[in-house]
Amino acid sequence: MADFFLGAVPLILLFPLVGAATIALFGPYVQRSASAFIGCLSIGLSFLLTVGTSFVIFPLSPAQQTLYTHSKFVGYWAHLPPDLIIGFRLLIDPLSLLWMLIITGVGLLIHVYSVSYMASDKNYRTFFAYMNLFVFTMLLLVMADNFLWLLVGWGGVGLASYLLIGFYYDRPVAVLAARKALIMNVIGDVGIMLAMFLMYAHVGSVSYQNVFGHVATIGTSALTWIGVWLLLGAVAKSAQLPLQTWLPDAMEGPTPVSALIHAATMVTAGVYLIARAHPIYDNAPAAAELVAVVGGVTALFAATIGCVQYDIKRVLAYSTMSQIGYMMLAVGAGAFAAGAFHFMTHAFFKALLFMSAGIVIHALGGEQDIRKMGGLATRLPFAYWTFLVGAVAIAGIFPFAGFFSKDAIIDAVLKLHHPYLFVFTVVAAGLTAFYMFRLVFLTFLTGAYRGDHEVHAETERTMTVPVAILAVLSLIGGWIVLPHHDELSFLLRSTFADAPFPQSMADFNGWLSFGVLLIALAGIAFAWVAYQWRPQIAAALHRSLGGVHALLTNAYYFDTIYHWLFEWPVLALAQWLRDAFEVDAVDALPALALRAGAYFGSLSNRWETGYLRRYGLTFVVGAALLLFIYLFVAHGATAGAAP
Amino acid sequence: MTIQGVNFDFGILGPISVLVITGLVVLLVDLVGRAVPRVVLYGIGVAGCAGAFIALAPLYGRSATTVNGAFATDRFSWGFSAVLIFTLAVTLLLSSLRNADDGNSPASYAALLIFCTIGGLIMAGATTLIGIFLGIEELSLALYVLAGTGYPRPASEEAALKYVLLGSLASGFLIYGSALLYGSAGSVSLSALSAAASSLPLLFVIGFGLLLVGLAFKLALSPFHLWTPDVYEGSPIAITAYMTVAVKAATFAVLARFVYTVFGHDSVALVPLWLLAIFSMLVGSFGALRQRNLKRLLAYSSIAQAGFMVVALSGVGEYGLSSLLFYLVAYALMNLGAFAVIAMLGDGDEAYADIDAYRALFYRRPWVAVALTLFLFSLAGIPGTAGFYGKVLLLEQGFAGGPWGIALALALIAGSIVSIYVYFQVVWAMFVPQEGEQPVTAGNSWLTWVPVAVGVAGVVALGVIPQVFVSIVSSSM
Repeated sequence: MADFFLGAVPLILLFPLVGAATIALFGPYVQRSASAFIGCLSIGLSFLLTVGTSFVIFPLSPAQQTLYTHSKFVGYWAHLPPDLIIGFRLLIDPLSLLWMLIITGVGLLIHVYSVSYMASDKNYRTFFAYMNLFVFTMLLLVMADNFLWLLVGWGGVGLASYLLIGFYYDRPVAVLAARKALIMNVIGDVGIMLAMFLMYAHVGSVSYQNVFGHVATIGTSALTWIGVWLLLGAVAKSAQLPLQTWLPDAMEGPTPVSALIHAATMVTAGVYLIARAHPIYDNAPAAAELVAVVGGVTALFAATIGCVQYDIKRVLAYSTMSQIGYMMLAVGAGAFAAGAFHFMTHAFFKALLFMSAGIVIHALGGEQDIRKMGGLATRLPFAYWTFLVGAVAIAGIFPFAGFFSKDAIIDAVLKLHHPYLFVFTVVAAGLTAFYMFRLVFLTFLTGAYRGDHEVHAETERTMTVPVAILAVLSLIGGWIVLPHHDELSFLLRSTFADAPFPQSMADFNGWLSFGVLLIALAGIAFAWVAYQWRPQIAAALHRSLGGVHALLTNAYYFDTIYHWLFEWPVLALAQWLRDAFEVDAVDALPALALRAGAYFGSLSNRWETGYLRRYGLTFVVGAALLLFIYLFVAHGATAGAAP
Repeated sequence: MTIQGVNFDFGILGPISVLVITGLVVLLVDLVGRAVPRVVLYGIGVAGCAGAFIALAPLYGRSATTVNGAFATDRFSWGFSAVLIFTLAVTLLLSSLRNADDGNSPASYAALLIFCTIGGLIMAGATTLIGIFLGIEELSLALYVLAGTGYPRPASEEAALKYVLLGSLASGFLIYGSALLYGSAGSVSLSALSAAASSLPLLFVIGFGLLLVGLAFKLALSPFHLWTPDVYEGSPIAITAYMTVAVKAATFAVLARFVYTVFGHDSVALVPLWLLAIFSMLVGSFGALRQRNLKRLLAYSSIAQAGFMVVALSGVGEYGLSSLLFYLVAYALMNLGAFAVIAMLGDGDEAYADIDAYRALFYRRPWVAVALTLFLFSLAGIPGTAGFYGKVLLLEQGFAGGPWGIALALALIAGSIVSIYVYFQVVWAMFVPQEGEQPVTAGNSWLTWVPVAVGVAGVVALGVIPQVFVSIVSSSM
């Protein structure tokens, strides 16, 4: 049995690709439901194989837990002489397994959810093909054993994300959002490429084994630059400062896409990258410090914006950004297991929140503005209770999952001596509780329903069952790490064996946890006061803090700054070039090249008269020239060189 | 087995022996039987190719000589022989089409084609000047006749006449050069020549120069290429396909053997070869720009492609030979595939030689158009195809090959850029929709689908998992 699962590892990667290709090629010839079935089946099979592989790998001793799949033919994909060897092997170790479990497991739930969520869409088949493509590229990203194939997966998820954000391609906003996401992600891709160039220059290889085996000899300054360029990739993919602005716009995609790609999996690729490359950051403290600072600042930054948004999905997007900030902070500080732990619990409760919100949006016919909701608790009780579970979990209330994982990070940050960032995380924790419950009160409670859409009942089983499963996981998912009994860092011990700091989260600081819990409760209480008990308090705050409110509503004007700093100059330059330069140079050059090419072509064609005498003459003249060259170049050179 | 002091190892001579017997059987069957359908005759030929492959298989990775050292199986011969036999099989398939030209004498046509390939196999294995010359002549004499089998089409007769006249001129250079080389080294074996190559006496230099002219004619390297467009356009499609691949494979085997065994790294004697290659890449790419006849276009393209392949030899490096062979395999797959599509659409006749016949082909025959697009993409060197990785390997050799290698690599890049336009104008024609009445293209023979399918599979496989094939190619050496 063990051999079966280890042998079947490549199939985990292959099934979603085959699923995507099958739907793309044969989708038009089969029923809509068949496409959905293929889409779910391929992810389901991958998930089953991943679970089987986990049961094989996790019980092994640490030394045996890292597994490379070997190609039957050769050990590498390409060998360009003299010394560039690009391997293609899959890497299975506890870290990649954890990510694979979440990608395929949560991915399966979201695929099932989409079966009815997307049922009325005209591009139903395309949706499942794209979703399967996404799962394939994401699996490639985490299963690659070198940076090159990681980058292939990295670019692939960027493409899938682009396609799915722009899925409603007849809405200009969605298309613009997709373009923005792609551009920002490509900036990150360039960062990873630069890091790879540096690795190749210093190590001559981009495989994990070789690079991580040589971190001691690369030299701190080069290693720091590698770390910084990798961070650029991570920042772009994970929507951290300063490349964060695409994530809120990405909410233009269908809600299952937001749940899977822009909350649970793809945006955590940055965390995976840093955790995977931890030997680099362990030996480049400056780069690691930068990771931690970026994460900590983003955690607080995004939380403040989340407090004032009115679009239900945008609030969740900012909360995603903030939570990933926590994870980045953890892996930057050196608490890799804590970062991976929060990734896992966050995948549960954030997917849950998006999917509950999706039920609400679905029931209200596409409405996303929470000012037009309210009082939905009685009309959509299932969505209310599941959303509440998610909100409690993300707010970090005992005994829900977020309590354990967020606490592990805050605890580690304090232990690893980042006092300022510690304060950031605590404040952000309070804000998180506040804005999540602001969302709960405005959407589900606070008076009567304010919208103008008819509220449809929530019935589809394929939508409610995945949400219920995630609700349960959001409750119990954190129990894998309990005081004095830390299962997760034990499972991950072989990956982080060489990390400089102890990874165990079993050593709880009870007073700290209690304090953070109180702060979260205070945030909830404030939300209750301001939005449920005395709504005039919120209105008064808006009036007296109008400047701050505008600043936060506009997300610190980052979009405006980027517009004037980058977009406007580039567009102005482009306009100028178009007016002044294009006609004379850009249009003229190809025309010139065309004329020159045609001229050379006609020269060679006109010589081709068809007359044998011309051919023979050319032949003989050519031979004479060749001999002439020989006598003067070849023989002359040797005769001159001879003593 | 030893006959009059000459030893014959029929293991090493296996593929040649099988083909000789096949050719004789074809002639005998035609003689004995009455009006034997040509499919039967060509079927015997294809079976002979399979037999030759079986005889070639045990020689994989071996290095041995026979005929008192005059014929070898080694790293220069195995891969090139395999390409030659594969090309023969594809050509026989394309020749069996309903409208294919064979001069109304299928038996002699098939036998000539088989003997022609035997000439190529002799070139690939010969280790003496005499053996090389014999092989070249056997190959050429058969091709002169085959080029004219389009009779009574005037273009075909013209092609045969031009080919034989200019070919004789080239043979004169070849034999004169060989004689001078023999005079300077006192031996006809290549290993003896390498001693003379180190000091480069005048006689040797002139001798090699004249020999190079003869080889350059066979490879259609510019400026000895002028016969190529006329001959390729006039010959029957199957023969044109054969000439573009088989003659190149055999001649490159000879050239590679010369470069690797006679000359070492950085020999000045090879400078004219580099110049010829650079010139060919440019002339071939630019010359193809304005062609409206697909056979003529592919003729110019083959001039450029021959130049590209020379880049593999530029550094005389460790991996040069395997890079050359990889590219040659890729070229055989994509070029034979493209010719198979041309032949398929016209059922063997010339109806689809003109580029205008391909207008909006995608909307009439989508799969055929996609296959041809793939072959043209590969010829242009688009990533994901065999041609791309082949060019990567060639460039790798070029940039590692000193100043001349870098010059060659740059010419390769320039030629590739121009050739993208060349190939894409055909792709463009196929994919732009056309208003009005569409001609019906009935040609759909399975005989051509076989090489097209093999070509598609090969082009994709070599492009997507190249290292598997690089390993196979390298291990044959």
